[in-house]
Amino acid sequence: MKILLVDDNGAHRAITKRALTKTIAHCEFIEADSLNFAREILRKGIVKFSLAVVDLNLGDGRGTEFITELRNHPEYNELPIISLSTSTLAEDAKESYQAGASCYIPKGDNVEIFTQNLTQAISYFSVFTITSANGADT
Amino acid sequence: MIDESLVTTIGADKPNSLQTLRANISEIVERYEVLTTNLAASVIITSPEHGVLFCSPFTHVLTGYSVEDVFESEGDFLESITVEEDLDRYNRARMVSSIGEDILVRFRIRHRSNINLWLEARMVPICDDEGEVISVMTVAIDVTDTLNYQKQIEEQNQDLNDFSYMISHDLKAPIFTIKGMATALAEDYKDTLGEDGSQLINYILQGASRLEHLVASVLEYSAVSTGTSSEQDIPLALTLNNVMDDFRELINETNAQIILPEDLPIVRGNDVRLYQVFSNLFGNALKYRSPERTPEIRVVVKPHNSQFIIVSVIDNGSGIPKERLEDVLRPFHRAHGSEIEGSGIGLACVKKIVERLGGTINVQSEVGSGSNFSVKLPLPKANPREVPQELARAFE
Repeated sequence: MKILLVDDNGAHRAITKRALTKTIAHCEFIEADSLNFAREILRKGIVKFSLAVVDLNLGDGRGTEFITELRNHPEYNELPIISLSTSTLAEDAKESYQAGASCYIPKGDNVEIFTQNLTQAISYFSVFTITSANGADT
Repeated sequence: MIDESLVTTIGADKPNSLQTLRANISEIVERYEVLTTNLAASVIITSPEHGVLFCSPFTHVLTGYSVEDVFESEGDFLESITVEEDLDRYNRARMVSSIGEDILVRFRIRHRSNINLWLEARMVPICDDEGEVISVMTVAIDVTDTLNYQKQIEEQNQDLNDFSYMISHDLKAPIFTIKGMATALAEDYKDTLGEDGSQLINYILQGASRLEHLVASVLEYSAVSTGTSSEQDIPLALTLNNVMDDFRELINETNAQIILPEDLPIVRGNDVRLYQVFSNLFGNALKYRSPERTPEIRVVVKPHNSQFIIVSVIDNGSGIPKERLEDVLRPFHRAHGSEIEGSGIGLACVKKIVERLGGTINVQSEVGSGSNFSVKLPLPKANPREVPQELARAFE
């Protein structure tokens, strides 16, 4: 599965990738560290991805702008989109849903919970294969 | 309230003592003149037919214009010195008072010395027996300083809000990194680290969690002074029901007995804030329960005076040591060390909220017996529109 990951924080991208790898079998990541770069990827259209994970606080703009653009894109208007942010402000969740995100997950608590939240969100997008604890595919 | 003797002197004596009647009236007028001369407010009484009937001397201090200027002014005097942007507001208030409703209005005037001042004026219509407005009394005071302070506070609140947002985002990001990376190390290098190494990583994770908790607490505390403060009359029964619903699970788990009084009062405040107060107090009562007995939480209501009421949350928990009692309401203090999870911010928030509502909080406690947190809360305001009948008659 090809996953677009948009987050300006390299360490956070690493953490999110680890969590996603635990959840989804065979992932391949396309990473963007800015709003501009994410737009480039969308514009070039070289790769088609089946899931987008977008952080709301990007260095050069708000993640929700990109989410809106994804929803307006003919190929991705039904794409599962997960939005993330470190600030647990209710406004972030509201803004995400208004922009068209499928799910909002806060980057708080501990990593186990973060991973669990991601797993649960993704299980709703049942097109993916979920790896079980011992690595076998379900 | 008006002095009873002022009222009863008129008509109390027989009509043949016209002399007495005249003397009484003189006395009243004299008292009245003393009052208005010394009152640090401008009092102007106008009637639709006769214009200005009365103007107090302080008007000169407040506006820079003499009492004669007021009497001689063309049209409404205050309107003639009102700043242009506030004219609409001022005139609307005048219209409201002219049809029989009293109203409070704030507007700016240009003092004769050319500086602008904020005035707060109460316009009180004086009506005859049929309810027709015969005159309007405008009592105005200078509120420029008050409004300046208010503006300063609003600016500081805005700064604090911005600061809180920055903390919320900027501090949390590195905390997430620390947790994520420490967990990754523990997972990927489990064998190399061994038990000792894994324990070191645990300490890192605990530290990061504690840091996160503190950040959340600071945010909560600052939210108290910058959050909404709309005030309504709130029935405490509703608030306590909500609190109990939210603690239902813990109450059932601990088999806690909650005792509420039959009559819970309606208080003046904000529903969210009041919920926070009682949620905190209940939460603490349950958290610091004694392992030796079934927790019991009693809510007791005691009248205080016509403006306030005292609501106490009394528990039979572990209690707070005397030496720590003073500190327990301060931010970041915890009376129990680190055995029980908490940030020490909850009670400080409660204190701040209660004080912002105009009340106070008091705590009594005994180790081994339990604690009593008493909150003094304001009662709903009585109807402010009460122009005494006797005062109204004095102008007929």
